[in-house]
Amino acid sequence: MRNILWIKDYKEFWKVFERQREKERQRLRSLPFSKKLEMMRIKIKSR
Amino acid sequence: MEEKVLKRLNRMKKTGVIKDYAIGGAHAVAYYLEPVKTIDLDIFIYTASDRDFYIFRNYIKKSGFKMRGTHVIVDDIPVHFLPGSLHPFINEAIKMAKKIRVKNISTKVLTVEYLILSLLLAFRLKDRMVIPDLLQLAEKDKLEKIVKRFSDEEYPLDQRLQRILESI
Repeated sequence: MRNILWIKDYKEFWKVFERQREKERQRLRSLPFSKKLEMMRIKIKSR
Repeated sequence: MEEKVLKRLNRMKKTGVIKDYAIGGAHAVAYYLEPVKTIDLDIFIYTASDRDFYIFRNYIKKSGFKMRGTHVIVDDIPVHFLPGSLHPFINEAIKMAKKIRVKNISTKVLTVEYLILSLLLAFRLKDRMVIPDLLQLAEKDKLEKIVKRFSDEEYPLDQRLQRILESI
């Protein structure tokens, strides 16, 4: 995966950023519900 | 910890304290999409009559659960119980809810169409933000029929859905 920190061109930056974020969202969506609950629990506790 | 709450809800169902329930809110959104930030667990409770509601309310009162604002603290989790008496869509949504298993515990989660409906009712910014992604998973005809049935002057759900569709 291309390191986003080294991109100087802002258009290119957002293109790569969006692509990487979408990839991460898809990864999170495919997790089992029990794993998602664990992750949400951390978010509740951190409040 | 949510698993503990689900086990407790299943026991409440078995012993007749509640007739049925389903997971809604942020946890239901997370079931279909990615995990989201939340402060509570929304549980829709099936209540066909006032009597059903009193049985449930008395159980909560007698069991000594702590209350924090609108939440009942169940096994350290702030739970927001939403009984069927709050809105006519709730009982229907529970009846139609999807049966799932979480770590071998059977439970139910709102179908994506009824989840969207609940978000259209609440219609806060965080609700509006997740609807476009959920729409991709919904059966459009089914959703439109439900939305039309529960739309009224106070809650113009059909107009709200249209606004979202136009913004995508």
